[in-house]
Amino acid sequence: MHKCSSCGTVLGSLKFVEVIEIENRSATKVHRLCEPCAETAAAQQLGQGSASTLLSAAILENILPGLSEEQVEAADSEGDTPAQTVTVRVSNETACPACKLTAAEFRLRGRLGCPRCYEAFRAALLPLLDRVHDATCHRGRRPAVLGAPPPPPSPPERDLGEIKNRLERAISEERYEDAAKLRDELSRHGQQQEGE
Amino acid sequence: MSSLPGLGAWLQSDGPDHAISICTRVRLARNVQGYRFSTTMTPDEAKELDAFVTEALTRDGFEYDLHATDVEKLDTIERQVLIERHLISRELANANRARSVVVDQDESISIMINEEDHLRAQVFRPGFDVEAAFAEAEALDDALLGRLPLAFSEEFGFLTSCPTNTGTGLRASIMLHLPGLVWAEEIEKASNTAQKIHLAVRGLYGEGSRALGDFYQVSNQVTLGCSERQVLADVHAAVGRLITWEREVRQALLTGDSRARTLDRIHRSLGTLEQARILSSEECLSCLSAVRFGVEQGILEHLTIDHLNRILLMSQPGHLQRSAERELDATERDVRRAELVREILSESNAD
Repeated sequence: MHKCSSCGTVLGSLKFVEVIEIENRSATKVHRLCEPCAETAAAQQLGQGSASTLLSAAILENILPGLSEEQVEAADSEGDTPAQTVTVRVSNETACPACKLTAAEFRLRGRLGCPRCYEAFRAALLPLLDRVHDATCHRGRRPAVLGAPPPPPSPPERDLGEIKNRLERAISEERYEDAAKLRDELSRHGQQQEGE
Repeated sequence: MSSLPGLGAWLQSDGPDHAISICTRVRLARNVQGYRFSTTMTPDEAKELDAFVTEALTRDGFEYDLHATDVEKLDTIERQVLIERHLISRELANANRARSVVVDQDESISIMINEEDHLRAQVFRPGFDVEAAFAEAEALDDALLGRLPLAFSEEFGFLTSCPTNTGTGLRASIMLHLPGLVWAEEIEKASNTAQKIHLAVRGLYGEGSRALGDFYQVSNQVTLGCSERQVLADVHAAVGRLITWEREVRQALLTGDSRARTLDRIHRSLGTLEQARILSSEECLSCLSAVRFGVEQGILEHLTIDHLNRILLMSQPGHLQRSAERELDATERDVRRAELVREILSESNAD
């Protein structure tokens, strides 16, 4: 029996918002809010504008000003969610590793920063694409040959150089958590280069 | 008078169904891997990308013979002229970064560089010809893929700066002249019907809901989840129905009680164009629409669509000032416009 995480109301056949928070590749957390609590949380979140809290403004834009019929139907079509929920996926990756655009900036500007943002903000993009196109996957032409000449060297190298600089600074300032994250980025970047 | 410049491929007065449809345009949004999108780039990145793409598209051996223009170096009138010829958008003209447009000889292909996306490639075909326009666009896309490392993902298709364009990045627009639907006050109904199947109907000239000259553009809005062929088939079917509807309404306007009123409007409009000494762009477009209707329906036989297309283009502010070879204020433009219209119409009488 589901209850609202905020007020404890038994959800039963009431409409509710189910927020699936993706913490990392293997862990997700599920939160459920009844409609009034979701709207209250939204109002509070938009005021605070903090990306680290449970329901970021980016997500809540999808569920305001109330749960629409369309959204309920969309959730229904996924097959594994109950008819009265809207499932929204939240990712804790708040910035694109390539261009540094944050999720909040994306929502404000309505535009992405670079092609790699699609990967970085995938979780937040899926419901947006669904709303705009009624679809989330490309079904059009696929190029036979992609990127015959190699891309120009400067931007990727700038990325790599910049990450290395930030890593050195983090180490010298004894910000070891940041340093660990940057080392991860560096190794991911290295894999990306090999893949291209 | 010096010879008038060509009208560009979009105003060739032939092509299928050219009485009602002016031209078909297919546009593809594409971006290059390894760079930020145009709207987030630093000025240096923008210069680098602009140079990189321009060079790739104009270098020897490319399938198309294209000429590049640095938009930053153009003055206001020159930019306005390109906008009026549908070769660049107002957004490209006014943007604040390195940007160019690359065009072929007869202006049937135009590729904007650093507008909302790195490349906005468009292809024009006269009349209503979605099939041919797309075939050209596909060929151009293949050529671009051969020269540039374009950003593409299996899941999201061709990646664009705004998620509303991702996937095919394709926008097909057909420009239509719909005086019948407007005069019979059925245009809103037609527009709403189109919107139900995800087609946008908007005025070609004028802002917001105003559609000066009764020219409209019908475009698809969805770019993800359907194949290009499916989207184009849908657009083709919907525009076909619109054209049929327009034809029916025109017939009705020329029958029974409506006929006298319609003929009166056509002839009065011609009279205004032939005699006015001051012509605002609004009045000009409005009269042109009625006269065009008259020509299309065979009521005015001494004029051709070609004459009207010339007036349509040359009477716009950029072209008007270019032919006058100086900037003109609003009053001067209205006087010059009236003069130009009388000139072109008297040429038709002499023909």
